[in-house]
Amino acid sequence: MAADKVKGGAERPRWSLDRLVETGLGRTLVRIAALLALIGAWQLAGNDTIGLLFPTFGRTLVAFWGLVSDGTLQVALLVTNQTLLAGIIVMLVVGIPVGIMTARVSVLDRIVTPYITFLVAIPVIALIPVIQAILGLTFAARVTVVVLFGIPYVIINTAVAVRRVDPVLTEMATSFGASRLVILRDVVLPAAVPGIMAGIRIALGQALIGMVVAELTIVGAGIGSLIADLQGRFRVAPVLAIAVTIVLEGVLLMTIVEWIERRLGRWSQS
Amino acid sequence: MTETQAPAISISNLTKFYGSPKGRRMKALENVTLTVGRGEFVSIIGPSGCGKTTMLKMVGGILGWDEGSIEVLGKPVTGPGPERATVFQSFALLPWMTVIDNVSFGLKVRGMAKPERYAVARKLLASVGLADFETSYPRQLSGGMQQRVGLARALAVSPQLLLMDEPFSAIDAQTRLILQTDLLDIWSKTDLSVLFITHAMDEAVFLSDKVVIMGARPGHVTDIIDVDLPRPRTEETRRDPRFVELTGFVWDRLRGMIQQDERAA
Ligand SMILES: Nc1ncnc2c1ncn2[C@@H]1O[C@H](COP(=O)(O)OP(=O)(O)OP(=O)(O)O)[C@@H](O)[C@H]1O
Ligand SMILES: [Mg+2]
Repeated sequence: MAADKVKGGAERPRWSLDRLVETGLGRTLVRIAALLALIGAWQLAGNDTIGLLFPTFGRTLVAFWGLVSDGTLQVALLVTNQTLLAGIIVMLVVGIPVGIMTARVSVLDRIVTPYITFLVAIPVIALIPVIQAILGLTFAARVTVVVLFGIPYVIINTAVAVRRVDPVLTEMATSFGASRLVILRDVVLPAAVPGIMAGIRIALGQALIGMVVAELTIVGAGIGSLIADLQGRFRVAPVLAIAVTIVLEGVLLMTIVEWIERRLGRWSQS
Repeated sequence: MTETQAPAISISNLTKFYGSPKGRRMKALENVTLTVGRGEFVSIIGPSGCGKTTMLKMVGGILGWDEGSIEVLGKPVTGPGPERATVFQSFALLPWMTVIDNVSFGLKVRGMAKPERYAVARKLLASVGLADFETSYPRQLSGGMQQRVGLARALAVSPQLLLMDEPFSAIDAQTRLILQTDLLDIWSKTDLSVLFITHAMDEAVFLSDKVVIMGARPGHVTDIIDVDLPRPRTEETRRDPRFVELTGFVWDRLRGMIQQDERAA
């Protein structure tokens, strides 16, 4: 980091990649360069002579524009994200309290934990026929899949974070006469925030996968059915355009979570 | 101080068992009897595991016991109370809160509004020499400063009894000496009674009116030593032949116990 300030150290070249990424502008430049290189490679690797072959970046972009200009993509994204949003809300509203309670009430721990372990151990995809049998081809079914994909990570990480809170801190609050509720609100929860956020980050990634899987398998809506439809007609470029869109949405989600984590969990970083 | 006033702490025939995972009971304390007078500074010293922390937690009202009784200011202890405050070995500061929020934590728990509790906290921060660190976070402070915050937090609730569990043992030796004199300085300006746990002989003698020596397996009181050094105690006190003599006496008692333990092990 500050090695170049050490006297008598080996002389470093005036211009090097290491040097460049030390500045904010440099980092941005390097990132843009890397992205351009990736796009260039993609352009070269693609083959547009037959529609079925791996499309170039240019053809994917054109396909993307085609999906956007008639509103197909927006409508599909809207429907899909309704599922995702509902799933995330259920996941957090149910998962965080359940996680807290499993950590604090040993009876609940014994009841809930085996199911969570089960959900983590088996591929949730295997449960989809069951969900479909119970809930049919509905919005509720798709939301359920999203929730099942993500919620174990919320519950487990919340429970671990709550259990790891330094007992001295709760002792301190108790000694000042704090009630169990106040201790939970003012000591345990804030102390557990970094762990809970780490769980949410993993869970959101899983939820995103669950969202696509739900729509691809429980046919009938959004991005998933759009992909299925295009794939059925061998339209490779639009499918790729949609895939890239989902990746970008994932990146956006992670960026939001990291931003919230930084705001909430600043204290835990050192 | 009148004769009719009950002592700050009165512990009699206190016995405590801990249950072990195997279901066996371990006797942590046996028949401990101990009195801390009003305004008195009493230290407890003893080998590791002799039940010092256990006893302090029971006086603090956050741990129950099996036999005997504990009275604080004449009233039986049934839980934590506003007349007692604890200072912890590991400081127990809330890392997501600023210094002033940490100091006013006890007042917040007791329902005091923010402007009032901040006013109290500011006064105490000044008294421990941290007036300029209100908005700092604990991790930005040295160990010594963090414990000053811990002390200010305890004093903020205006307790009559201060319970301190090895408060300076995580702090470097030089800072520690300064904290000792600062603590005595604050104590001498109040009518606080202090129960202070330590592993350091010199610290116990320097601070206290009375040093209680405990032995282990199970925890019990072996000696109670009256420290007849004049107050106020200063750096001169540390060179006083009587100080050296008392410290030596405490060490002799402890050394005997520890050597016996090592032979037994
Ligand atoms: N929660 C607990 N459950 C079971 N045993 C315990 C518990 N807390 C303490 N003990 C045991 O009780 C004994 C006394 O412990 P305590 O922490 O009071 O000792 P201490 O004198 O404070 O020791 P130290 O000087 O190391 O701080 C020890 O043998 C310890 O292992
Ligand atoms: Mg202890």
